[in-house]
Amino acid sequence: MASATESSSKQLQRLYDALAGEGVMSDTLYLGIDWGTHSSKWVWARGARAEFKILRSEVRLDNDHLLLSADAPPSGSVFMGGLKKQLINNPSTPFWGGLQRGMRLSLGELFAFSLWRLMSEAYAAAPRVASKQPDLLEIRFSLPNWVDIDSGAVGRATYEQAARVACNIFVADRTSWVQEQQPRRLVWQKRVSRALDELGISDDLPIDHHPQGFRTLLKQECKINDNTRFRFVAESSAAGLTGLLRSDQEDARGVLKILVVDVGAGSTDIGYLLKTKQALCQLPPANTCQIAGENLSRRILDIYRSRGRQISFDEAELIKTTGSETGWRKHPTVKDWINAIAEHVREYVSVVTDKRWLPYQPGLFVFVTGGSGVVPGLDKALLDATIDGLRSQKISAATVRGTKGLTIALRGPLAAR
Amino acid sequence: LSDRSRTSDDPRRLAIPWIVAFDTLWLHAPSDADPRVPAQFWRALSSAIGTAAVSVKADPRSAEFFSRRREALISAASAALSEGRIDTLRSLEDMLVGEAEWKDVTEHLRALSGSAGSETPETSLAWLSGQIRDRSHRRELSAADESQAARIDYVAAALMAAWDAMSDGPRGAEAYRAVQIMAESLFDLHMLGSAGDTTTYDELQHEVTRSAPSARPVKVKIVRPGVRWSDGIRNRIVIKATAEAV
Repeated sequence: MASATESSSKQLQRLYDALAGEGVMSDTLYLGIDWGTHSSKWVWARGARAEFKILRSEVRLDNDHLLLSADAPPSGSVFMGGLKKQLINNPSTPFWGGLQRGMRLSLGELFAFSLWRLMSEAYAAAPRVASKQPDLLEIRFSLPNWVDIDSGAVGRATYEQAARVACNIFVADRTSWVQEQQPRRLVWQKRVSRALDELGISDDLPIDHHPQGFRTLLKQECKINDNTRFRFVAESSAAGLTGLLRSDQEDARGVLKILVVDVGAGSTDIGYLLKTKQALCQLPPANTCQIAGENLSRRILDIYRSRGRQISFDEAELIKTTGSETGWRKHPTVKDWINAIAEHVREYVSVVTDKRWLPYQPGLFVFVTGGSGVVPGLDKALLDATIDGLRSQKISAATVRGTKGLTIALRGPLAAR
Repeated sequence: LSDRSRTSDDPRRLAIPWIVAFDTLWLHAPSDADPRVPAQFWRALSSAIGTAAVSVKADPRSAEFFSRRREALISAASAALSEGRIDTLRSLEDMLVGEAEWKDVTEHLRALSGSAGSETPETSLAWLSGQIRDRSHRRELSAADESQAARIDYVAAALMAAWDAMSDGPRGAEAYRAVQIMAESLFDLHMLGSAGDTTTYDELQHEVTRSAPSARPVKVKIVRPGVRWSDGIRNRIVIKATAEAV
């Protein structure tokens, strides 16, 4: 729980920065939904105020009532976790049609429930501190790096469908969650069925397999009604926006190039962001690297247990993220972990395609973030790997020399180093 | 204006005359007119013209409007600060979030509070202090659920470090006791279990270190306590207790 909270707080900070990057207006209520493998988060933002909450991603069915909870499902309860993996691993399985064993709901109905539940609670939480009703409701869903793989295309398309269905149900009655926080399974099925009919969504709709599908989805803005809209933000770019927003490193032309390395709990995501005076561009990110924060926490756990201290995994996570102890940092297994991520960075940078800006000055900034981005030595190794990748692209020596780490004044957990 | 701007190649061409006209009207407004009106006007206009707002703001023809808008804002904020009207200050803050002018306004208020000294109400000073302290991080998130605040992790880590130090002697035991009291009193954090105790296994509270005879032990012996957060109603496990199957 603690580990999920720590890394998720940072993900939320980035999601919020993504919202703030668009200019958070006081007459607009922003709802950010980050639906993850293990934990899911909502954030609402209005004017200068914002609040978040983290829930477990497992959808539970307690006495035929559907719910998400901040706590792990108790033993013996009926629940379904790993929905994202289900979708990626079974792209040919009907999304709205087939019922999942035990839950007796389709994957689509479970997806839509998760999204509806998260946005409804965020919406309900917002007015507690903001007096005036917002004129406009902007919803943002974080989009995982489902990029090149074929199952990614199915994931993107069905995720978008689930978001449309969830928004449709949400706008029909924004307060329905407050009135009935754990709807009955059959009630939820009926709501989804009605939304599918209204929206014309079914498993028969064609899937966009185009390689540019990821970019296309990020550019789309979906209007639900006159005062409610939603769109997707790429997880890797949301991470990089923290760097863009808090940096004053642009050159005289306002150009800033950032390589974002987001070392999250279950995966390390790498993306390339470019900001000019005219536009903010995000290139397709690297395929996800499975060596990430949880893997390092396991290694720290092993180090301490081999020394006779029977710490738990939760404590290993806190030792890593809060910087409360340093005895593990120089262990060879930590070096191996750093090298594995550095190799992934080198591979990405050696193939990233930006012929207009990357070869020329200013240099590239390397921004390391995420729950495990605080590991000493990681930023230096990733900078070296980036430089190696640029050299393999035959980028000019002057531009390579200008490549450096992006240091941003931080405090709190982000500064735990 | 919104519809017309969207069809125009240059929204700035339409917006500038509006600004100049408004500025003229504002110059002749009654002295008791709400000083927030120019800010509200710009907010509506910039929302309608989108990204063109940046070039409109930089246009020399709109300079006088922005200068007068700034004066009006400072005047409104100063009056609210000296009268302790926090709601007004918050509404100004909401209106100007993300704009450079807000920094100007708070700098002015800081100077004002320094010169006005004890005349400024305590509530105003507390609000202003928060603005100055958090200026660069005002957009940080707060946890809707206290148990998910990042500070909980830091205190829990400190509590476990203090628990380790307890075996170092009387001073270590005293230090642990002090940290434990602080964690309980200020952060609702409590130790979970005591080393050596035998208890019924609960997968949400215990992490078993050694392979159990069966996949799910019935009883476990606590090897190292964990940390739990509780506000009296809700309970969250921050760190699971480490245990051995018995």
